[in-house]
Amino acid sequence: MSAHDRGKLSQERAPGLALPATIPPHDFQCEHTLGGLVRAVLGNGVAIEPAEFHRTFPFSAPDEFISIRDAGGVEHGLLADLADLPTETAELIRQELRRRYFAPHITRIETLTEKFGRSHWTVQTDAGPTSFEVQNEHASLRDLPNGMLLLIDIHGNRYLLPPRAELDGRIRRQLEAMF
Amino acid sequence: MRSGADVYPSIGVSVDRGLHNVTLPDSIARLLGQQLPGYRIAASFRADIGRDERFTDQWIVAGHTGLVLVGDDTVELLPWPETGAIVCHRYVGGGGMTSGTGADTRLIAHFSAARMADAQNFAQVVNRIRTGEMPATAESQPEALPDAQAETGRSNRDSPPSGNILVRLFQLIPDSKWWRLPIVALALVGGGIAAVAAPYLAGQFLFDEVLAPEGLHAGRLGLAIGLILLARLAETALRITWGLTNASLIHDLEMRLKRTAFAAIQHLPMRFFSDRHTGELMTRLEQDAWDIALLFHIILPSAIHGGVFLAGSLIAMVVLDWQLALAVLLPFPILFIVFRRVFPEVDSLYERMFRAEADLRSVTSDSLTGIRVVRAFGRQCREMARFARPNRRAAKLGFRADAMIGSILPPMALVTELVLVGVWAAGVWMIAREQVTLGLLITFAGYLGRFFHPVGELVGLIQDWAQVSTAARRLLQLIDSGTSAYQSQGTAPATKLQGHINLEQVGFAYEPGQPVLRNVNLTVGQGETVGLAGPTGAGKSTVLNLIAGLYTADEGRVLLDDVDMCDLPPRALAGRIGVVLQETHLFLGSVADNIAYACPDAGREDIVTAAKTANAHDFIVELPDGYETQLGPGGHNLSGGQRQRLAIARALLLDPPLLLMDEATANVDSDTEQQIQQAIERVAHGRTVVVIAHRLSTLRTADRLYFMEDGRVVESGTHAELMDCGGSYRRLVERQRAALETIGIGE
Repeated sequence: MSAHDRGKLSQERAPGLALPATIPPHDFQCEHTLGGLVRAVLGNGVAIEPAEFHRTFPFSAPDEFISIRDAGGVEHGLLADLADLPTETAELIRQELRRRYFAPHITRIETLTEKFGRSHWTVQTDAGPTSFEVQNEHASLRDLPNGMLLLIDIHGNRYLLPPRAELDGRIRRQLEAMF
Repeated sequence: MRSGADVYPSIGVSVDRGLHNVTLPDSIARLLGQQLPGYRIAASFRADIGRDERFTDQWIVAGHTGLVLVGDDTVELLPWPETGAIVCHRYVGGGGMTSGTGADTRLIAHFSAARMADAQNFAQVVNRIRTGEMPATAESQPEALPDAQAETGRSNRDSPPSGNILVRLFQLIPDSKWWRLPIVALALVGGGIAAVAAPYLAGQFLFDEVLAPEGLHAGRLGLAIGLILLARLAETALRITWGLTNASLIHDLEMRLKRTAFAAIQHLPMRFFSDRHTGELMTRLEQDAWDIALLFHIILPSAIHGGVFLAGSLIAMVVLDWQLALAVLLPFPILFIVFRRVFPEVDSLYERMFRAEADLRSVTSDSLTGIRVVRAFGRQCREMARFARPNRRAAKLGFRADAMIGSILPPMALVTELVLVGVWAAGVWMIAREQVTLGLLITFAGYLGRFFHPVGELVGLIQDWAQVSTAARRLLQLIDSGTSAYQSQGTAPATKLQGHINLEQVGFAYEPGQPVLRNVNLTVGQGETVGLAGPTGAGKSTVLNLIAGLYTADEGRVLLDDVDMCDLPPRALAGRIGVVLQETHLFLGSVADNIAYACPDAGREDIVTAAKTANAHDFIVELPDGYETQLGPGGHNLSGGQRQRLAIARALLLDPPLLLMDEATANVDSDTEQQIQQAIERVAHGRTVVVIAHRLSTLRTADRLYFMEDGRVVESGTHAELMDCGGSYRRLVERQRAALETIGIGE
């Protein structure tokens, strides 16, 4: 059964089942506020200020099903796909999302040492050089659907590593042994 | 099983051997024939505890005129009309059977717990004969006894696996890899022979044939060195060959063994899991498979290699000089006996140490998981003392084991040395008297030097084999029960499920003698919402378990769209029944994976829709990774209410025509409760729902309610009807309302 059929079927069988309240792209506008945040206006005239944007599927579909919420955590609707929006609006939201989901790409690993169950990383990222510590647990390194690796340090900061196949052999073996 | 009646014409008693394996001893049948001419036996039961509370067989026989209690050489007939209903009672570690009620109650049998299931079957049949429901003849036996399939779940546990263990294990080797077996065997044998040849070449051949001036190959040193090198190289090469071949074979075998066992577990009847600790199953899968791999890893190869070497060198020695061989081999039986004594001793010490370490582990985990309670009551000292005991014990046992090995090994080495010294001494003496040559002596010394290792190995093998065969037996038995359970299911054609349910006279017991359901009749029409209410332990969850096909009814029938569940092919219900249980199990994986557990192909939009309908969407989006948050160990922990809402979303996404729900009562605040309630109402729309309800609001909207007490349905009807009739349901509702009013909530 395809997703579409299933959706139709559940509509027929159970009127109680609501489709997700996605906001039609033309019913949606947003702009920068003076405070550097975003104000969103929906088709029914409701203005949300400041608006927060949450990813529902941050790894497999980072630009789809974006939840628009107010400061109180109430959801005002979902944006089906950022690509449907005008470029400027989409870029504005992407910027917001980048702030909320800050995860620099690691471009080069300078040193990687392990001591007492923690690994110490000194790296070059696309956000500049940094160093951090990672607890060597399975949960600290996630394989993302697109093949990238998500590294979470002891404070909860996130970093992206290139797919395993593109990593240097030595690093790859080290990762396998540590996580 | 069901043969016709065996007739004993001479004594006039006919015995039906078809009924639950009636094997009435001939002596009893003869006794009955003499005392009660013309008596026809329909069923019999062997109680195994006598009146004097000692183990003796006591037979009770049911026939056309009445029940017969068989004594040593007397029989007592309890004629039918007077004899009251037969009832089985479960005692602790045994049971009893009585007839009649009130003042007429009479104890007619006392038996051990092992006879309980048979006793119940017997009582059931006897009661039917008594009431005339079933004639007491051989031809008209009741349908296959309801406990038959319940028995498969239980009895398989004790039946040994079929076939020879080794043969069964070898059968697990894939056909494409069979060719490796002869290679391994040949390499091992070849290695053994090469190992035998080496000392001969380096001893007698080198010294007597090459170095001695009168030797056959005198002066051809190059040939001698070459041959010695060749023998050693061949041995190494063959060892590498079997090592490589064997390694690939073993890991394949272990993988297949685990896979087969895991698949078998998936098909085991649910009873298996209530009887048995899940931990035990996990141990079997891990430890037993590893133990079996050990057989192929170490036991078989060293047995073959060691055996060939021992046999080969023995033959070589005897052929070269049988007198010296005899003298040299004398200490070995002694050595063998010493090994046999010491090995089990050391093994048992290590075993006990591992047990103590396991105790230590369970104390640690128990104490650490309860650390809040420990701190709150300030019982740290007690916990430390609790930890110290097994810790000390493990250390002590470990010390003893190591000390034993430490004090045994050097003397063993000394014995070896002494034997060698003895050989040299005897050899030198014999050389002086020109009875043997120097080469022969060196050959012997070469053999002896390599002799101790295989002897020790062979002793170890005997030890290991016991362990391996136990592991293999357990694992194969598990595989057998799983396979038979899978094959024993029916083959009615699978049709689209409408969601019409009928329970007819259903009885069920998790443990024989402890019925959880009795004579339950229940009807759920298509599209109806039916509520089950009642106190805890009334059997509500069991009804859901039966409908979901997790267990099979012992008595009566569970009909899904008028088809008996027993006749449905395996996995016919997969994807057709949605289940929301009180305790939601979340699997390792993301939130989205868990919602889409029953339909992995679901799109993101469907998942979000289901979560929204189940009132789960909002808390999910608040999680750091949204729907892709990892759950399970090391992942994000959810609260009880959140778990249940995920379970509802899971059931919703499957969109089944039939939904079974067990409302969560505990661990939920009133806000969450309302959200769950709302979700349930949305879900119930347009499908058949059976819900175990605790809240009045759910009960009120249900099409029909069944109020259960003590395994029986005591009242049924709509909320209004049940309130009018003023029974147990009404009392419960009023009590609940009063409680709510007391705390100032009020309906």
